[in-house]
Formats: sequence, C-alpha cells, structure tokens
Amino acid sequence: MKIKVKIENLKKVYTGKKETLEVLRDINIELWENQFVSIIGPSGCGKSTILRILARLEKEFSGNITINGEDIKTSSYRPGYMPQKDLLMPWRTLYKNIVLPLEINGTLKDVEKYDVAGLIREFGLEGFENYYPSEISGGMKQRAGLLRTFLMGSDIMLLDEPFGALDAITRINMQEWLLKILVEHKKSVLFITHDIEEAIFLSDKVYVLSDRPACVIKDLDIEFPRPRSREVLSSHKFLEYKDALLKALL
Amino acid sequence: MKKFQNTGNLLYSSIAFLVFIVVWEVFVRSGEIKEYILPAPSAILNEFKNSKDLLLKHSLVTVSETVLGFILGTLIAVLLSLLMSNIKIFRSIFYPFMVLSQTVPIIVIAPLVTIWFGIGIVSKLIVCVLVVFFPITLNLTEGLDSYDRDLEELLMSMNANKLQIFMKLKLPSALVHFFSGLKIAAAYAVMGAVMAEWTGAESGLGIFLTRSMKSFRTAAMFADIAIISAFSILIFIAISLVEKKSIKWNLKG
Repeated sequence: MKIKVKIENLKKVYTGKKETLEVLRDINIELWENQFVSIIGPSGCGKSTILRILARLEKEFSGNITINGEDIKTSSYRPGYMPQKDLLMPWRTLYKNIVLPLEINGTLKDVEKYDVAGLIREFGLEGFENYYPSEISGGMKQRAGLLRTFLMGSDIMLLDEPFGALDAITRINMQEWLLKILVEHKKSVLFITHDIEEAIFLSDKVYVLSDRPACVIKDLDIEFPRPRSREVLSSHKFLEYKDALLKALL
Repeated sequence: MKKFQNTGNLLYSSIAFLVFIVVWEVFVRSGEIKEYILPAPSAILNEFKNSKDLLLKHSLVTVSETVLGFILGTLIAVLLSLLMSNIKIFRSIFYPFMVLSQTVPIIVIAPLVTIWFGIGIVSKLIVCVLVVFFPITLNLTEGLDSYDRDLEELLMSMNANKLQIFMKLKLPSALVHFFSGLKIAAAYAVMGAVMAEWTGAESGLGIFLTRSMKSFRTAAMFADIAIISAFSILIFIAISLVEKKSIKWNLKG
C-alpha cells in the first residue's frame, strides 16, 4: 500500500495586527491508499484549516506535508477539495456546475473521456442536468458537489463536513451511498466531521483533535469489515468505539 | 426584477387606468374646464391625430439622443467598473471624483455643456452620458465585488487563474446589480435628453414641450408627456426582457 498524504509536525499560526492565534500545534496524520480517514474535534479547533492547507488555500505553515510522496510546497498535484457549503454556482445548471473543473483545466472538449454521463447516473442526478441549484434538494446538491470534486481528477478527496447541513435520514442514506461510491472509484478520503457516529461508520481510522491549539489526542482504528451497512450502527463494537472517542473528546 | 414581475395582474391595473381616463373625461366636460388648463383625454387624442407628423419628427430626435446616450453611457460605465474593480489605485483615485460629479445637479451642468458643445446632438449625448454612467458604474462596481469568497477559494483549489475567476465568478455575480443599474439609468437617460434640449436645441420632445407651453397648447404638452413616458416604459421593458433572458436562474428559483 502506498501512502497518499503524510502530515508531520504541522503547525499553523495566524498572525493578526495585534495578536497571534495559534491554531494547529502539532498535527501528525497519515492517509493511505484507498483508506477513509476522519478527523473529529471540537468546533473551531482548526479541523478545516488542515484541509485548507492540503488544498493549498493556506500557504503559510510549518512542518512537513507530502502528497503522493511529493512535498506539498513543490508538487503541482492538486487533491479534490469539497468545502462545507455545497457551493454550487446559482447561475449554472447542475451539469455546468459539475463540469466546472474540466472547464478550468481546459479539458472540457474531451468530456467523453471522463464518462460524465455515466457518473451523473451513478450519482443519482440523471434527468436533473438542466436544473438550477435552487430547484433541487439539499442531498442532490451535495451529490453534485461531490461529483464536481470527483472531476477535479484526483484520487485523494478532502471532504469538509459534506453532510453537515442534511437531515438525519438523508444523511444516513448519503453515508451508505458515499461508502459504495468510494470503493468503486478507489478514492482515498480525508474527511472532517463533528459527528462521532458518522466518523465511526465511514472510517478506517479516526483522529481526535484537541481544542485550539489543536493536537492529535487520539487515533483509533475502526475494524469493521467492508462493505459496511447501517447494521454496524447498533453493534456492541460500535458503542465501544463511540465510548472511546467520547472519552477522548470530553 | 422581482418587483417588475410582481406589478402582477395587468388586467386590474388596465381597468383602473381606463376608469381613471373616463373619470377625467367626464370631469373636464361637466366642469367646463378650459382646455388650456386641463384638456380632456379626447382632446389629447385629437392632438395626436392633428400633430402626428410633428410629434413623430420630434420624437425621433429625442429617441435617438436617448438611445445613443444610453448605450454610450453604459459602455463608459462598464469600462470604468472594470478598471475600478481590477486596479485598486484607479479606484482610489477615481471613486471620489465620481461621487463628487453627482453632487452638482445635472440641470445646472446642462447649460454649460450646451455652451461648450453647441445645440447639436453632441451636447445631448454628453448630458445623457453624465446622468447614465453613475448608477450603472456604482451598481456594477459593487456587483463585481459582491461575489462569494468561498466560491473564489473553490476555484483557486481547482487551480483557476485570475481571468477564469473573473469570467466564471465575478462577472456572473455582478449581473443582477448591473441590471438594476441599467433600469435606473434608463429613466435618467430620457430625462437627460429632454433637459439638454431645454438648454438649446432645434428639435426634440423637450423643445416641442417648451414651444407648446409658450403658446398654451396644453393638449400638445400632454401628448408630448405621454410619448416621453411611453418611451421610458418601453426602454424599461426592453431591459427587463434582456434581464430575464440572462438571469434565468433567479426567476425559476
């Protein structure tokens, strides 16, 4: 197995005019090929900052980060990044939103190569290609956002609380669906959530961050076999994991 | 745009308008009001028939002044907005002057412009541009700055360059603002042309209005006003149609 993302001794300090704010103190996280890794922690602890650094939206930090074995500071590799909000452009139809990454990198002309139509079917968006974001449900928007992230062309996905705004039932359906999709497409995922159950259900490994300045205070391997279904949610083992994570958080 | 849609049931407002006209007609006839004070709608209609050629001649002048001035003003406004939103230093230098230019009422500038540029179409265009460019520049500049910062970051994470961010994010975000600027400017444009004519011109609806006034041809004045207002409404509708075509997503939602 190859290592996809390796974060060593990551520190991040925001320097304002009057004061400085230490957000990340000492973060060490690994993401291996085809692995699903979640990061949980109190809100405002800097979870999103880690993904923003990996997506190269924050350039100032100290520590070592490699993506696909290359130093993030010199590599040109861009992982797929999906921020908290679905961030679909309201003036674009669903289809136009989805193919935005291809438009940006100039590969829209060989759109067939990516089998966009097939992906749209797989993501349950068929028939809605010409709808505007305001006309579709929250779950569909998230799936469209995810498909757009897929088309950024990376096998590493950085997902920042993608299901945070969804209702409980839609959420469970989306989680199951996400697991299926990720297995089929061989993606390695770094996933941020504040929902402990979601983290256990989806992940191979869960990292727990402390309050700001954030350190990794616990990492826990989740040993449920794959493919998983929602039955694991009521298993004894699940409660044990939940208990361990809660103890670390509180 | 929403408001325009919500002006709602045209049937009711049409009926109300008809009732208003009828009451006006009855009021004038029964009260034996002199025509030079308030002409009846029928008298105004008569005036339309009698002065058809004259009205048409003057209308064409004002319409072309307005349309040309409006287009010219819009082009200048777009150029200014693009410069201001992309070049910080240009914005800090020019923005205060732009606001300052609006503190002098156009009605006192128009005579000056006529002295400098004569009574031909040029002075009318300049006055039109002066009233048109401000609301458009203001709205568009603000619009170009009103984009979603998170979307900008998303595009950056896709490795988009500055031009792509501008074309795919800032410009579409500014459209709604741009059209509200255009609609305000449209009404101003007609006013600008008419006002510029007052300060000196050979023909145009503004000239026709002052001439009619001096000879107490009140019905002709009403005909003139009716044309000016119909023309303003027409421009407004035209802009709204273009807006509907270009901002589909907002209407469906």
